[in-house]
Amino acid sequence: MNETQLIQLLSPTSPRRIRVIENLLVGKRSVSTLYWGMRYGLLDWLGYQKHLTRQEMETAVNDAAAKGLVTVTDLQASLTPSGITLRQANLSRQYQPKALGIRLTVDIPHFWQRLLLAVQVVSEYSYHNRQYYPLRADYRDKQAIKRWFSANKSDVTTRLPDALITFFKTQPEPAADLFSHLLTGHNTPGYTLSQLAAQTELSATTGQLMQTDALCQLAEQVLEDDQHVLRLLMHDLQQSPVSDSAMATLTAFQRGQSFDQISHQRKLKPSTVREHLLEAAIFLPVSALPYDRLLPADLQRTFQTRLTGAIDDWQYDTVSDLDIEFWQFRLYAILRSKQV
Amino acid sequence: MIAETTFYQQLKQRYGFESFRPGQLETLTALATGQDVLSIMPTGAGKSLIYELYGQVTQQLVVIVSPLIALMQDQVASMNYHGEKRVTALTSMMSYSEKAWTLTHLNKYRYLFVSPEMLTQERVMAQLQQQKVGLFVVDEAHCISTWGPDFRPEYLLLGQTREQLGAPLTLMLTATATPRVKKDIKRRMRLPAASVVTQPIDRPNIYLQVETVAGTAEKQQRLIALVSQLVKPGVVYFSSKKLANEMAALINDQTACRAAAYHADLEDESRFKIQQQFMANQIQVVCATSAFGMGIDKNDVRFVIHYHLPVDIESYWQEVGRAGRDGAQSIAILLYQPGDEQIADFLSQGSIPTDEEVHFYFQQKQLSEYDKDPKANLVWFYKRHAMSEAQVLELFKKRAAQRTGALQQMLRYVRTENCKRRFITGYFGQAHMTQPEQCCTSDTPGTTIAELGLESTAQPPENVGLSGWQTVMDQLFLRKK
Ligand SMILES: [Zn+2]
Repeated sequence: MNETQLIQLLSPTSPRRIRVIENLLVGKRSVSTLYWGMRYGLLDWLGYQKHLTRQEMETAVNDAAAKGLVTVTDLQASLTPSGITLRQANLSRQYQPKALGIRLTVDIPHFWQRLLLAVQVVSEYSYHNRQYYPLRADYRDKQAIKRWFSANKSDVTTRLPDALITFFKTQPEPAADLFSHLLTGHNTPGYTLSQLAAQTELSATTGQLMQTDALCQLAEQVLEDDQHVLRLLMHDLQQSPVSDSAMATLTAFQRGQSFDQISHQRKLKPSTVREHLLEAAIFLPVSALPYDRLLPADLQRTFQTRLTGAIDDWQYDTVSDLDIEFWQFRLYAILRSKQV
Repeated sequence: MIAETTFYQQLKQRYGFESFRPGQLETLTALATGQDVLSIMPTGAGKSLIYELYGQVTQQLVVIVSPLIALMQDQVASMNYHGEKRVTALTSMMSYSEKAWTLTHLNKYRYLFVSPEMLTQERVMAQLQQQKVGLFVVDEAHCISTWGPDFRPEYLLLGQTREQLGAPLTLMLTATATPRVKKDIKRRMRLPAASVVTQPIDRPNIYLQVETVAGTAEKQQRLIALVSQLVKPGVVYFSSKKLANEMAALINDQTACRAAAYHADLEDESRFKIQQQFMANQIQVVCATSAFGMGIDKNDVRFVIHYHLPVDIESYWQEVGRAGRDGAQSIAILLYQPGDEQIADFLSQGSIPTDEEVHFYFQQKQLSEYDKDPKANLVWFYKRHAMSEAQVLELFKKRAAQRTGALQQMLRYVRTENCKRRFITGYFGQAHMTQPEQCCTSDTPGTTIAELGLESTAQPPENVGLSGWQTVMDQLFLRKK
């Protein structure tokens, strides 16, 4: 995290909650974080920087404020006119990620472990070398590589480089160069990200973004092509963006169980059941949830007449006299966000 | 009884060597006659070859107890490298399923590395008891002694563990043991009759230099000057990760050579890359904290510099031992700034719980809240093993006094105007020593780096910049252009 990245995550039109951005990056999945992450259009960044500290975040905010790019009121950050100008200019000057969102449905860190190991194994194999220090990897990843390698052994020394070359050609040159130097193989130890950042005058923050986004794009290419040489490495890395527990709640609700029944059977607090449904609503398309049961048609009509203007300006007070609960107000906002 | 020739055959077949290094064959033949052995060999003298070969020849399970996960991983990687696949490390880093699979398939392995903590788990012991352990190896055996530099209470249980495993043949290995520690190791392992194989601790090809500097700025300048002047590769040891990072950056900035920091904060991927870069001489200087290099076999390290005062002679000598493993002239330089002993004292005493901490942890009903704190774990270890609070307090008091004494010895090394080498060999109880012509700062204070043949004449590597991805692909996959 640095001030450049912070500015990219802020809005030119409205203030944003600093804690929401921080929690999103760290990967905290509270409904409030997820909801505002969706509203800010930043859900793709969920869990992007698991080790981000409060101090790093504050430093970035303070640096940006000291340079007059940002003002902070009530823990909400707004871009100043010069902040807006810089953000606009950075859109063409700074690396802009394209595919971070796939991180929600693919286990990207493990994909990287596997890719690294696959490249090392194939590299040594193409030099007919059996004597080398293997990268350390999780048992599950090692097993996946073993299976993958024996299934592809006959032509892997051409298919893997070919697939990588195809991929690199889709990338901006600096990103392709950076990515290739992170790989390791025969007599090629590769470089660490901080070594590359030091040698290329990229900031470590940008370097990490380029690496992650390139990897995400490669994952997309693999998923789009059944015949991709890396496809077999991917099959147990796909995941749902919705947590298992929230998914189980949704399934029970779809089978016709009431909130009380679910809460009783799954030994969950009633508030947790509602949070589960909100989480599912945030991540899944409108068709995946029985909105008509959650928000009856007449309630939706009332909301429609009472809640007008920009969604972020809606106030619960406007509807709190109705016989409703807060989660319904929030769910309606999610629904409307998705219908725009 | 295994014939000596069998060991030689395996040595040739497996490693391509014609002869053993000092101490290896003596240890192997003692083991072959059913003798438990305490083998004291300097770092890098090929300790692991002994148990690798023994497992190979006898086709039996070898269990190696080792104190550090990083060390075990390096050893597993190194055995993989030599073509041995039937080896694994049972550590807390393993996932639950991986551990479960390994435990139920122990018969698939010839070599099993375990941490002493693992051996306190019933599930692990139950599975191990079903195997016939051919050789029980205690690596870094000095960890069992409260008189040693790296005492680990879990090691105290190893004597008992060994008996629970049916008292298999046992090999205790250490690089650094004073006579007192040797005796203590045998006693605590309940193997008073074990034979002892000792190698000379001295490394005559390493010139021993101690330099006193006035302050931090001078120390930094001196480091930069030395790193520029000396033949590389080399290792610089620091007492903190932060300083290792900063000095690596400074070396990259102010000298023509490439440096990298290497310490426990690195993730596996970076650790691997930096090790490999160092092996391939792509970086010439590594700025390390003392955890570095445990598993690396780099023979041509020409200098080891200590930027801080080590906490005891044992760790100092172990780190110095990274230099000159190929036998060629090398140098160890200790940069001492008056007052450095305070940092060392802080580090050395810092791991010992205070009276208040002992009292606090003794009062807790559960450890869970504090289980990340090594001090809490330490106190609880004794609590679980039925020691009273008073006994534990007394124990830590002794430990603190022992650490203070060890640091005093280190300072005596720095200050002595007599032969530094004789001081070291004397410390480890080895009176006999042949002094090399160029010995140490005390004996030949005027010796220059040039006279040692360690002045760098190589042109600094040209910074050619990074190649494009196409070139990287050609190199990685041996693609013909
Ligand atoms: Zn001397």
